[in-house]
Amino acid sequence: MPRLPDCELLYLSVRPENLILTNISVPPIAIRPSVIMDGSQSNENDLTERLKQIIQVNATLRQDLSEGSAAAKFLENWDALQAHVALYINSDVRGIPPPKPGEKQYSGFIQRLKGKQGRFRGNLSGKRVEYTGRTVISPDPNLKITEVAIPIRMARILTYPERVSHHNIEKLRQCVSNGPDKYPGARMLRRADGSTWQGLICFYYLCGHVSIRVSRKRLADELKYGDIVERHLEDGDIVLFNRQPSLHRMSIMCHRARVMPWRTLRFNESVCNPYNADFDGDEMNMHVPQTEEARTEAILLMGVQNNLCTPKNGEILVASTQDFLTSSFLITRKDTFYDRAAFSLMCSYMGDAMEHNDLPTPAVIKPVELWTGKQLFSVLVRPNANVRVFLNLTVREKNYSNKLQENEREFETMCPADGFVCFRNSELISGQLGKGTLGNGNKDGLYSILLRDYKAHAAAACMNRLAKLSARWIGNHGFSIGIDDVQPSDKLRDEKDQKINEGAKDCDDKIKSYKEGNLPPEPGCDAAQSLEAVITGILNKIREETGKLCMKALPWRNSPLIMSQCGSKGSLINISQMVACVGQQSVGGRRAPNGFIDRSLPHFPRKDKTPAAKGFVSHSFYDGLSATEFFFHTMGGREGLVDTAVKTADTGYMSRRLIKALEDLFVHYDNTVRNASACIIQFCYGDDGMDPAHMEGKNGAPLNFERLFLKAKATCPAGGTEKLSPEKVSELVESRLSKKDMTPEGGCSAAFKNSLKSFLDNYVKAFKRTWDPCESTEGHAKMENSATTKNIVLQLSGATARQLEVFLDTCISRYHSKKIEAGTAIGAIGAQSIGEPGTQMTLKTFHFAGVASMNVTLGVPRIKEIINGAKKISTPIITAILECDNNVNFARIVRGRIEKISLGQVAKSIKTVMTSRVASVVITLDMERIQDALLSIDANVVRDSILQTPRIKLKKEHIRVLDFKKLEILPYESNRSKLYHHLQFLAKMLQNILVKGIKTVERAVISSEKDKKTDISKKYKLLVEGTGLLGVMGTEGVDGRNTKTNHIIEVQQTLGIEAARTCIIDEIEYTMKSHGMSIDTRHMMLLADVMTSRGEVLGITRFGIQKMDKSVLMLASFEKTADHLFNASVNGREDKIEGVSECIIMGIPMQIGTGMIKVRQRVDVPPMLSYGPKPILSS
Amino acid sequence: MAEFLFEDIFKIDRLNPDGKKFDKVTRIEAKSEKFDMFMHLDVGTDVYPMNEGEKFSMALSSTLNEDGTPDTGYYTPGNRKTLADNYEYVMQGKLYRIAEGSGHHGKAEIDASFGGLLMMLKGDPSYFKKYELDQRLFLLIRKVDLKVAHFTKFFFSLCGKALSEHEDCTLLTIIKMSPAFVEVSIL
Amino acid sequence: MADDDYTEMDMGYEDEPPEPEIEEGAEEDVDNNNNDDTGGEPIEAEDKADEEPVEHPRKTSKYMTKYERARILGTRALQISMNAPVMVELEGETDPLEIAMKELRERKIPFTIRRYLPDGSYEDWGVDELIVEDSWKRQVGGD
Repeated sequence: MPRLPDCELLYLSVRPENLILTNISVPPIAIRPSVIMDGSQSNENDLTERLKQIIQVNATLRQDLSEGSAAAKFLENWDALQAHVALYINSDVRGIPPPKPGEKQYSGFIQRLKGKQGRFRGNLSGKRVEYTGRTVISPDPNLKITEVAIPIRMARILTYPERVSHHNIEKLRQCVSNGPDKYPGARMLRRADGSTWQGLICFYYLCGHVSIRVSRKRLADELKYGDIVERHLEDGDIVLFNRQPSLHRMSIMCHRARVMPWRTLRFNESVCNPYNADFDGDEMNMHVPQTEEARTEAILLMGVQNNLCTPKNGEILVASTQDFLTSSFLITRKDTFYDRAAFSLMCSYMGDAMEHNDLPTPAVIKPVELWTGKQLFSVLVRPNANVRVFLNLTVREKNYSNKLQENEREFETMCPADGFVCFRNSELISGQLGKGTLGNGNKDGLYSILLRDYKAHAAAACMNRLAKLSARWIGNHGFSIGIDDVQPSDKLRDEKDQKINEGAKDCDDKIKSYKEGNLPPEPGCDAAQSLEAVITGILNKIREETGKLCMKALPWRNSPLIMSQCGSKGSLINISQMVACVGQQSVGGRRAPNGFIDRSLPHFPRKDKTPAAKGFVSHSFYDGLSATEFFFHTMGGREGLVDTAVKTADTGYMSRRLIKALEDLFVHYDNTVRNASACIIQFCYGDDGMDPAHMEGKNGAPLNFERLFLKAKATCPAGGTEKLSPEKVSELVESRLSKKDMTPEGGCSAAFKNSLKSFLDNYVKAFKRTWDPCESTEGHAKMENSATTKNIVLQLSGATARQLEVFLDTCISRYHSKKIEAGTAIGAIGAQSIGEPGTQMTLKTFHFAGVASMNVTLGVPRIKEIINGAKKISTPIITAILECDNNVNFARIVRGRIEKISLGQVAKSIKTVMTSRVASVVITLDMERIQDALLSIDANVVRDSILQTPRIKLKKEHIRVLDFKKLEILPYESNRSKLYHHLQFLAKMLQNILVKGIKTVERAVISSEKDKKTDISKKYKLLVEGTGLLGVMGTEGVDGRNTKTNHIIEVQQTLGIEAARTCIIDEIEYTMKSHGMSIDTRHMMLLADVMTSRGEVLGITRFGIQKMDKSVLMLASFEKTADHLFNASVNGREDKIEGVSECIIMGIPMQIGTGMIKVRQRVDVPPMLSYGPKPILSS
Repeated sequence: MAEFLFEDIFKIDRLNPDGKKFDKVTRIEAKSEKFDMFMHLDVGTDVYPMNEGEKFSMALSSTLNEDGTPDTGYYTPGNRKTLADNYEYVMQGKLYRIAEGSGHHGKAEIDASFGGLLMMLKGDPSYFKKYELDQRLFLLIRKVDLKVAHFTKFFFSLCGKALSEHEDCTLLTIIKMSPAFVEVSIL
Repeated sequence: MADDDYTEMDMGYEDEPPEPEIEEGAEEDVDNNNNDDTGGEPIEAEDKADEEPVEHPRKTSKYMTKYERARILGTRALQISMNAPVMVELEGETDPLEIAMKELRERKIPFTIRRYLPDGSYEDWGVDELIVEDSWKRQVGGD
């Protein structure tokens, strides 16, 4: 073994000479089957063909060798053999001429492994399965949200192997005797002795070659415990339900089967959201788990009721949609009244008349008994007194008017449009229910609160009831759209025309002033850009105003209006486009471009900038569009289509990379987040170890204290008990917070303790403010009066000891139950949470950062940049905070220091002087200009900067400062004949010399931030386009500590890896936020930690992922399959099969979630076994 | 005989102060005479029309039972005699908010919801001592033009002059026109 | 108060810790069917030298995670479906999963969970030692 070390140095597992192929492996026929075509022809596999060629060449070569033929011919065959063997392994190996056009290219081994359809991705990472079904889906509001209706035809084909036990023997007997075609039947019977019976008319005995007919009746009678019957699917069976694209874990959920007639898979519309399904012909897949363990895990972990909310941000995803919202909105209108019969009927709609409902006292007792629609919702939430659900919530719906009352208070419940939804102890006090309350994506909505306070079942039951009620009610009530819904009245038409004419005139004025050249420019824009900006503004205003006009004009019964108000479908823009005016069409964020010379379409004069010539559609869809308008509309439409097509491919690949990089991260029992090879990524998930799916508060806070406090007060009526004084409250809180479960040892983070404390402190403070005046008046004569006010204050804001105790206990116990559980595959969840919103990002790819002229990349391209860890990003911007941010002049001075200024910009003249004695370049600075721009430049500064420019090769002795604004540059060229050219060259070079500023900075713009209340006080900061964070931070006048950039790699280089981590988190968050998407920061933290935990920023690309200690199999299943496999074999890599991909490839349960633990049967006393005969005599 | 939590005569100042939004429900703004209360109330005007300037007597009670036994919360209609018999319009609902108005000596406010028809009653805090949060409330209304008849004589003697000027007017219009009437009815 | 009200049934953790009943002969049968839990049998665990039980006190959470719950119930449901003796009084339940849930509710599942820490050491927790939260039937979506 003396030679081994050199192998080790070369990182080889075997001696290099062994890497030369001397034999090639020939796989068995199963690997390369020959397909028999009709008759005697057979079609051979590619590998066989290639092997044939190899054998052929080999044979000729051997013959040549033995015959000793000419070296040239012999070498040719030698090369051919080489090539064939290489092609056998990899058919597109480099250095071999591509096959001629007619010749077929045979695929090699590598081609079998590579690519999406290859062995790794197509067969090993994703396997084909049995027991699946797929058809069109359709809605059925009568199903529970946890159910899925399975067509009977499908149920007859899909089976579940049920073992016969004394619980089910009778049922299974019936199944067996029904056979495979009659519905509750069975397709196969596996006896405990190993024999299998399968059949159509009757069961056949399939064992070896013998097949015996036995009647089904007999088989049924002979059924024994332990036999396995593959019976048809029946009601209550557990199935997995899925729709592609499976972007997040809620795309595949577990339902209970309901076998139903007809041919579609049906489910409750409330579950459309997680699948992102509609019923315009979508198809969905279904899988039947085949073992008891699989079923249990499926229903407990993937069940619909356990996935009501998304781990992306904790918002509820399964919630009422569309018609359910419309009918709830109409039912809860303030002026819907029902008499006894109608109200009772509607109550019975909710639960198929199978539930017990308490009829409430009618809202109007006299002159006639009338119940309101709101009372129906009180019944819906709490059908009878035995249901102990006490719902308390307040939601501001869309139509809540933000106007203030006469006394400067908000309207709240008294809102004239009834937009303030308030439930108090499960009674609907006020408000017309719409999407805000019942829909998805609101953390304070009805279902969210039911889910948090009363667990999933309460929320699911409520959704079921609403679905049934609403489907039946709207079926009777009727709801449709007709042409009259979009017909504008004459008055509306006139008003709209007037608005459009006004706008057009406005635009004409602006165009006129632009042509005359006196249009005031917008900051950072030239005249043409300013005109565009102004006109776009005017045109957008037209659409907005016409929209408002038609809102006002439409009656409340207008169907599109109802739908947009309750949030079930469509927006105000959609309505105004149908009724009033379609508005400006945009292509690439601008008005329609010029497809012809200086005009958009040949219908218009050249250089026409009027609204109509640039894509403004003044008609409504009802009016019909003119030919040119129609064309502009298609331009906008096309852009949208192209954008979605491009975006899906982009985001799909991004999601795949994210998943591959994060898939093996999970939470261990010691609360650390580690990857498969147990390297720590985070010590505590998300710094607080909370589960993002369970977060109730805004911005990922675990709890919404305010709501819980109100709830505690509402659910524990004060009754006669004394309310606490502020001092008492603080005392009680203090004692509770010092208990063990509020200490770090008890598993409580300091952040949570502080937030709870500060909430209560604020409460006590506010309480004191109202309390103290009452206290002070006590001494006075007005004892009684002060006592009453005090009483009122107590009633208003006081809390009893019980209420406070309940509040604290709920908060603390709930906090502890929201911790992330060990085994959670938090990496995959995080990757999905970031990848899934990407698909929804609209075509808004740019956005102005503070100043109109400065763009920032947004949307999918930006997310891609961040995730890739791109070295060069398209719009790097440094936000420099100033040391003194309330002075424009100061900002200008600092800008002067940052922005690059060439000598040409500040020089009055750069002249070449040639006299007989001297030849030089004289620079005169434009001091006036320099003063104006508040730059500190003089001749000395210029000299220094010339000296710092290496390219110009000027030395100290060449430059002479004449006075503060004049310099003389002497040439270093001594050859007189070249002097003239040299001087010219110098003068030209000097023009571009950087005198001041940072080279990498493109430009700097001052942005001013207006205070919201007082428009006067402004805060100035600098937005610097370009890189050079270090330089900007070091610039005098810039507050380096608060200066940020959006360039992650630069942050890492200047500030270090931790800063880069923060930068990644902030940038992803910012991008997502500007698209109106909220993602829990914990996901971003995890991603940032993965990208930075190696000490350098690793992009989520094939290069970055390679460096994250992933196993060979994982890398091979990701990208560059062959390269990884070759390298691994050369280097002798081992694969421990720890990660997710590897386990899937090998078909082993992975060590995540349920696979993380081992279960042992407890045997307390091992049974004593005695061998041999019993003793004759025993004591 | 049960005692009302509150009883007073109101005069309707305005209908739908914030604009008409609903067909069958009208929000009335009214002021009371005895306790100087200010009220916003949603009334189902489809079944019980109310007009501007009308006066009505309103009572709040926690039960409809004549003997004052508390309400059970269950609705058991029957032919029993109830407090509602003396009134024309009766609503049932829940008191959901007691709030102190702005300012230290400001007015307090109670809010009740009668199945979504809201009432906001504003007045001196001392009148609201009896109320409890989440308590059931019955709101009873009858118009007082009948009661006004009792006043007619008294009224005529006081406003004889006014009457002679508007001889052919109905009583109601006089009431509407005469600012003195408010004081009269308090007497 | 009202917070914990929705659960209609009393879960009664205060009850005396139930003694795991020993069913003669049943264990071997049941264990052998758990082929996927390699090392789940006590004998096998000993020959893994690098895995050592952690000395008390145990560090991991006293709450049962949902993954543990799913695994336990799955394994137990499989045993029950294969005619293993049931540890609780049945009230008409026939679904193995439902029976397993009832057993867990009454803390009668004779299992020990072996939690592996990232360093390869492990902690053993009896199913009856762990606190199981949530109401049960509710989780499954059945009635």
